Amino acid sequence: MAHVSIPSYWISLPQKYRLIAGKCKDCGYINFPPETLCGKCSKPKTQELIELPGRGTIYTYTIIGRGAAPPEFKKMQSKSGAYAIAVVELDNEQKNKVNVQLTDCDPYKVEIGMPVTAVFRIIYEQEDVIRYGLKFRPELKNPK
Amino acid sequence: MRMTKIEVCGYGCYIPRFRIKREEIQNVWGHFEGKIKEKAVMGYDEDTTTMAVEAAKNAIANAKVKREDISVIAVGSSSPPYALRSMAAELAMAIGISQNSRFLDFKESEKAGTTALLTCSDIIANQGGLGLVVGSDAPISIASDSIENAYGASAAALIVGKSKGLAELEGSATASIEFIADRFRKDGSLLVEDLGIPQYYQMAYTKSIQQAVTQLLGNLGLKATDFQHVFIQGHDTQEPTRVLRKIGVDKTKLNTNTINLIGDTAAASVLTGLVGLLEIANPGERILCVSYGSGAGSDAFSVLVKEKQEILENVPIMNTYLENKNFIDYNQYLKFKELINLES
Amino acid sequence: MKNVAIISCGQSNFGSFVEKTYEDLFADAYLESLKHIKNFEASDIEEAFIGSLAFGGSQLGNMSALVTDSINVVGIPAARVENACGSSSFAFRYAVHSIMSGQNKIAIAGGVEKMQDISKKSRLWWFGVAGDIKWERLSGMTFPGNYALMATRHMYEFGTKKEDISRCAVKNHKYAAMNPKAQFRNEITIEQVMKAPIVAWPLTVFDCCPLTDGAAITILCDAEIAKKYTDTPVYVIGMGAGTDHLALYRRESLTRIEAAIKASKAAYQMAKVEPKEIQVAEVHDCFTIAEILAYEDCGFCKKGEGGLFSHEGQAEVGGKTPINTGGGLKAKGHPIGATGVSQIYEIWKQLTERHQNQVNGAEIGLTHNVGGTGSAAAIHILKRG
Repeated sequence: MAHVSIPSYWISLPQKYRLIAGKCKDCGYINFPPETLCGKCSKPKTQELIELPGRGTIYTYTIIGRGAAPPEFKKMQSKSGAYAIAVVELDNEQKNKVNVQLTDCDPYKVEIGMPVTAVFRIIYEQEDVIRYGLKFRPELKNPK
Repeated sequence: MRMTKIEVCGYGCYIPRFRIKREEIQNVWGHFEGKIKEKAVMGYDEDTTTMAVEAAKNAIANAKVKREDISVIAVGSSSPPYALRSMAAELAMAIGISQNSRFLDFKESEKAGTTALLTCSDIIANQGGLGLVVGSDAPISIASDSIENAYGASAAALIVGKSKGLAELEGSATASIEFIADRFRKDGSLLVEDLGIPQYYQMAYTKSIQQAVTQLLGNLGLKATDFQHVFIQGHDTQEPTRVLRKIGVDKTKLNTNTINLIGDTAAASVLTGLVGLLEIANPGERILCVSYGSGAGSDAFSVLVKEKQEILENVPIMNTYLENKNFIDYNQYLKFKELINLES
Repeated sequence: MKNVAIISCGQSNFGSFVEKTYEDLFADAYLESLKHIKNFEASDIEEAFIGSLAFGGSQLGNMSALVTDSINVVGIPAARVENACGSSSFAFRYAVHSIMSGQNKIAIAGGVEKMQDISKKSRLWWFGVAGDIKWERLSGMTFPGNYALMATRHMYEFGTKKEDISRCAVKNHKYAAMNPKAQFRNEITIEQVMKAPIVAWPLTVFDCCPLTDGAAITILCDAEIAKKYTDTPVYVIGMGAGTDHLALYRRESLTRIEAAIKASKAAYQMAKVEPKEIQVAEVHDCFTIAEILAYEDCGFCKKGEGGLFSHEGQAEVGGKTPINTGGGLKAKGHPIGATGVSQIYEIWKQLTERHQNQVNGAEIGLTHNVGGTGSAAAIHILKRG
C-alpha cells in the first residue's frame, strides 16, 4: 500500500535529508518546510532556502511499544524492539521544532533537554525502494 | 605507467555502535574462523549508504571545504543496497553536493574502495577540483559458514585535491593476476561464497600483494623500511602477517587494530585502516596501504603525512566511534543482519 | 437568529458488531430517539448532517445517502461532515446553524463508524490517515504516540503524575459498568493501568480508547416548536469551534489543545456562562491525557492542575464537575464519527434526568469533542428547558 507515493516522498527530500527551510526575506520568519505563503506575514514566494542546524535538544518524547507503530515500521520494530520518537527543538534562533525518530540510544534513557544530533538513516522500505531520512541520536562528542 | 599523486585535504570515518565478541559467535557454532577480537554490526536502520553519508560528512567537516566544490564522488562497496542504482548519487543528495558532480560507483570486489580512491585521484589530478572518496562495506555470508565470522561493518572517507593538504598520496601501483575465484558473490545473491581452498587463495593473495608493493617501491624509489605504518587488507589480523616477509616489512610496523576491533570490512577495509593510521601518525611519517580483492588484484599506495588533522569537537574521530560500543548477543546479530527471515 | 432545541437523541450499542452494517447501526440509534419523541414523523426531517471518518474505506464516499436511506428519509439534503474524531460535533454544529439561520425547522445530526471488521494491517494504516504524514507518521508513530508526546511534556512542565492521568480510565470504566450500551462493562484498577503493556510511553494499553462500532443521532428543531415534540427540550445555548496546525511540532504548546480553548471561550461567551457553572460534561478522552488536557482547556481547573483535579476526584459524580458519566471514549467506546453526537446524547440524558448515572439537578452541560490530536475541536453548551 503506497500511502506515501515515491513522488510525495521525493518532494520532502530536502527537508528529510538536509532540514531545508524557507527564510522569509521580508519578515525573517523561518518556514519549515518552505511554503508558498510565509507562515507569519503571508507574503507569497519571499522565502530563500536555508539549511537548519542538525543539532538540538529534546522537547518531548514517547516510546513506541508493540501495536503503536504504523505497518511500514513493522520490519524495523522486529529488529529494534521499542523505539523512541521525539519533538526536537533545533539549535537555531527560532528554535524550529521537528518530529523525528531517535536512534542509537536506549529509548528508556531519553530525557527532555538531552542534546541530540541528526544522522542519515533508513526510515523504511516500501515498494522495494529504501526511503532514507534524518533521525536524531544522543550527541557523540570527542573527549577533550 | 603514470603515477597518481594527490593531496589528502581531510578524512573521516564511521563505525556502527553495535559490536559482537568473537566468543559470542564461537559459543553458538563451536568455532570461529579468523583472528579478531570483536567486530562492528550495522544497526536496524543502517546500510552501507547511511554509513557512507556519515563518514563523508565527517571528512568534509574535517577538511573544512565547501560541499559545492566537490566535483567527483567515488564510492567503493561490495555490499551496496542496490545492484542497480548509484550509491554516489544518493550520497550527493544526502549531503547536498552539486548535481553536476561525477558519480562513480565501484562494486567489483573487496578492493573497490582503493579502486575508487585511485580512480578519483587520477581524475582530480587531471582536471582539478575536489574529490570525495568513500569506502563503505558490510559483507554477509551464510550464517553457518565460517567466512561469515569475521565480516564487520565500517565506512571511511577522504577528500582529495591538488592543492596542499594534510597528507600526500605520493604514488600507487596496481597488480592483477589471472586467478579463477576465491571469494565471490553472484549477481542476485546477497551472500558471499568461498571456494575454500586455502593454499590456492594464499598464493593469489601473496602474489598480488607482492607484485603491487614491489612495483610501488620501484616507482617511488622507496624501501619497505621507509614506512613507519603499514596496513594490509586481510580477512583477519593473521592473514596480512603471512606476506610480510615477501615484501620486507617488519611485523612491528603492521597495524591490524581496525581489523581486530571492527572485523573484515572488504571495500572499506583499507580506507578505514588508513584513517585510523592518519589519526595517530606524526608529520613526516609514511604509511603503506595495500588492498586485495578477488579477481584477483591489489592496489598499493604510499601516504606521506604532513600535518595532523585538527580534532573538531562535534566530528567524532575513530577512537570516539570505537569507544561508543553496545555489545549484542547472537540473536540480535541474526536479526540485525537479517540472517533469519523477518518477512515472507 | 433562531434558538435551537434538542428534542430527542438516540444511540446504538457501542462495541464490536461485525455482523451489523452502517445502516443497521444508524437505524438502531434512530429507533431509540423515536422512543423519546411525540407527534413526529420521519418526513418532518428536513436535512441531515452525518459525521463519519468512513474508517476502513468501504464507504468513503456518500455515507450520508446510505444512512438517510436506512431511516427512510431518502431525498432530503444530506452530507457527510468530516473532522476525524471531531466529525459529528461539527455535524451537530452545522445542523444547529441550519436552524439558527431559519433555513430548516427540523434537522438531524448523527454519526456512524465501523472499526471492528478491518484487518490488523489495514487498521494500523487507517490510524495514520488523519494525522501529519510527512513527519509524524514517518517518524514511526500513530495517534497514541502523538498524545504520548503531549503527556510527557505535561508531566515535565507541571509535574503531573502518571497515576492521576490513568485515574481517568479507572473512573470511566466505573461509569461504563453502569451503562448497558457501553463497550466495556468491567471495572479496572490504577495498578492494572500502570502495569499494562506500553503502547506509547507513558501511555499503556489501558490509557487508550478502543476501536468501536456504533452510531448516534440527535433531532433538533426551532425552539419555538420544541414543545410540540417533547416536554423536556434541551436548548443549545453556546457553541464554539476551532482548528489548529495539523502536526504537533508546528504548534506553540504541546500541553494544551488550542482549538479546544478557542472553542470553549466562544461557547462560554455565547452562552454567557462560566466554566464553574457547568454541572456535567462529556470530554474527548481518546487517551487519558486528553481528558486531563480537557479539564484545563475547558477551564474546569487552572492550567497545569489537571492532574490535581483528577487526583481529588473532582471529575467524579459528586465532585466539582462530573465528567464522562457514561464511560467516556475510553470505556463507553469511540466510534470515531459517532462520538461527537454520542456526547450530546449523554448530556441530553443528564439534563432530561434519564441518565443511569444521574447528576442530580443538572441544568447546564458541556460537550467537548476533538478531531485528531487537536487539529479541530467543537464545544457545545446545553441547557435544560
